[in-house]
Amino acid sequence: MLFNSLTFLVLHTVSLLLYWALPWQKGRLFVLLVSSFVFYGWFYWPGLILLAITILINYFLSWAVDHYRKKWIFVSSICLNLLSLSWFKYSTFLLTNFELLLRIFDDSIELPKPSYWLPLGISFYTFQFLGYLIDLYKREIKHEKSLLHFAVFKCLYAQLIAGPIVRASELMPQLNRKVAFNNTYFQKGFFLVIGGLFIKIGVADLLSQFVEYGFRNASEISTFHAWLSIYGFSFQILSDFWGYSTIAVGIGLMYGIVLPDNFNFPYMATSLQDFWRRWHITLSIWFRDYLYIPLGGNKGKYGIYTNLIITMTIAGIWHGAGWNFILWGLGHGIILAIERVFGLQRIQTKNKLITSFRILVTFHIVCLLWVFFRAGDFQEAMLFLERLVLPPYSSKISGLETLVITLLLFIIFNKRIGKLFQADNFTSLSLRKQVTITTAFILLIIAYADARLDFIYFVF
Amino acid sequence: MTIRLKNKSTKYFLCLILTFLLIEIGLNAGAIIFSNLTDKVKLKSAMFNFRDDTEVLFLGSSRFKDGISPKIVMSTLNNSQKTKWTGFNGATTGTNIKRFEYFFNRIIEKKGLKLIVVEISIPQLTPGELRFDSQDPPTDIEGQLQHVFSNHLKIIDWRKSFRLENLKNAPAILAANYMEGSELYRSNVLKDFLSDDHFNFSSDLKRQWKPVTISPIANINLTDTLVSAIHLMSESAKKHDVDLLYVVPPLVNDKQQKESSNEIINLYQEIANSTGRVILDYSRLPLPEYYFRDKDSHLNKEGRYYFSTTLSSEIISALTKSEVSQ
Repeated sequence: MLFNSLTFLVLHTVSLLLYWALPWQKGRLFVLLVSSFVFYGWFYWPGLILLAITILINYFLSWAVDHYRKKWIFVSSICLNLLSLSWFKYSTFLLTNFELLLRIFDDSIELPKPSYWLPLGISFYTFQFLGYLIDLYKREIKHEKSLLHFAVFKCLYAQLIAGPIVRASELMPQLNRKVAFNNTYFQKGFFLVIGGLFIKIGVADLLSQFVEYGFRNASEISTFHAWLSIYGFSFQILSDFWGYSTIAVGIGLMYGIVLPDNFNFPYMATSLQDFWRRWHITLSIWFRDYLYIPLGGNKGKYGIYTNLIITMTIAGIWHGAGWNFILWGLGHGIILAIERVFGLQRIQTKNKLITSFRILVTFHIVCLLWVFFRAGDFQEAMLFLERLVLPPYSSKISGLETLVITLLLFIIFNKRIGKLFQADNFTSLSLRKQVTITTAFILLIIAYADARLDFIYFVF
Repeated sequence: MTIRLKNKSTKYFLCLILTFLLIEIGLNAGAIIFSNLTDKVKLKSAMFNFRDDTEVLFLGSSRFKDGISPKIVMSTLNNSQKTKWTGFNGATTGTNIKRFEYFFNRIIEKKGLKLIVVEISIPQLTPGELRFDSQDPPTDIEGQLQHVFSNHLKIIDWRKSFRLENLKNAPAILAANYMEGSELYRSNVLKDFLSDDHFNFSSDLKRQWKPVTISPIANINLTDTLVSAIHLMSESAKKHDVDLLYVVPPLVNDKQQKESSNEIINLYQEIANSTGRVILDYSRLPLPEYYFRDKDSHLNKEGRYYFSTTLSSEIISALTKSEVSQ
């Protein structure tokens, strides 16, 4: 089920009514669990079986980790989760590459490959499971004895498919505590859902049409068109994912649950390190806490650079099974390491010109690396990079007005809209402004909605 | 009794509900505008219906939209006939036979309509869909839900009218009496407005613009569904006492070659036969490409001037013949 569909509207409304009508916390959590299962199973019901089995197995694994406190149980639990993720997400990629390697010796070799089915949100919920197991083993949290609470933590529909990745220490206490209905939370949550949908439908989906054309016809487009396509994609992916995360946080608030923010104006970053502190914040923190620091973090003269490169390459693989994603992550890792070598990330200045220049450079580095992320494969990425520099330089582009207007409006209003999503900025506006902004957003959502356009991060 | 709401959030939701109720009421009250903003064929047919008596309507594709100026046609026609008729360019881009039929059926009963100049061309006769009405009932739950909401709420049914690119056309319906139909969507409007508009339509040029006439020569043959649709529209026009004039607009270069094939000429001939009306064919004239803004099928300002002027003489003669036969 998509957030931008009427079926979701009906499910969410019914679920909210039942949730707040029930006086018992267990009943409320049961409503959340059933809604989450309906939401997830709506896409492809067999995925629900996998999700339910994963929840049950992890419930018992976490019990075993907590009860026996044995390293091998902990390591086996982590491996089991990674194995499941690898099987569904990376087996075809690994086997295809292994097959290519074997073909150096024998041309006729053909390895059997599993049928391709990528369960939705598997990377997100697996990482949430892993985080829980690590925190549990490190005694940072207690094992959740109630299967119902545990299951809701694992599959809350607000953030099940594309995050934000929530830590048990943030969510569990909220699930265990019965909260009274809070008007302000509910209103803010409602506005965040509307605002997130507006960014997704009014910006990301409009840009996608232009970007799709540019990347699909990379061999035919002009240099100017290629640059516009990559700028378009940069803002498409931001608005798509930022939109999703905002909706997720909004849904949570409507249930009285506070989920962490995932974005903080990432294209205003002055260095790549700054970018990763503003983009997909919960994933960055996950990689920092569960991979970068255990690898050694900032320790050692050269360790810091290799740790950065390893962490970012794995982050690339996490996003997708393909060489283009690996190169994307590796590229980020290398540039982060270069920044560290020269201490670029530490430069502090109040000079607006220098700050603007740094923002512009960082934005373009991110844009160029997005090429690997957006392209279907490595060859496509290289072809597109070629387009960015080689002729023809013609400026005759169809759909240019839509792209330019949408981009300009989004860039201009980016900060204004974003500020409305933060803290109490929206609820502190005058009633007239609140109603006007919400009405405008709803009308634009209704006008441009196409329930068949997916969120980009659903495939990760 | 007054109710005081202390909580701002409650007020917010009540105000939102009230706002959307008002919008729904407003949409119902302004149905003529909002129901027609969702598609250009709907928009132009609504503009035409909203106008006071309009005697001549031009129906066609982008070729007519760019190539005909009702103002030029009507001034020549009114000067010659001592009338005060008005004309409207109902041509739209991206047309097809279904959309042409839709437009035709929507306007044919309009009081005062005397003549429809119909473009006969490949774009206009191409089979296609209306694009704004869903063809098949939805089978999935999402589709069925959308269907239910659309049937009961105008805000959903006419949702595309809120798109900024459509909403900007709302004043066009109300101002239809002051518009000739060509202003909307025409390419190079600004360039045309700024450029010189003094053209001398010499007798040499008049000869150059003399159309080829395709006259009906055989009995009605309704084997083809396309020809049959044209025939039905022709009969409907007859019933409503509206004259029809079929015109194939000018072409040049490759487009002229492609659309002068025997197959296409035969199709035009069949249309003439089935409707019993002549077709004025401008598509095979040896016109220079500088009359075309795209060196293909869309006339520029000068081409439009000559085409509109020569067409007005043909309209006069068609109307005279029609009066004589009556």
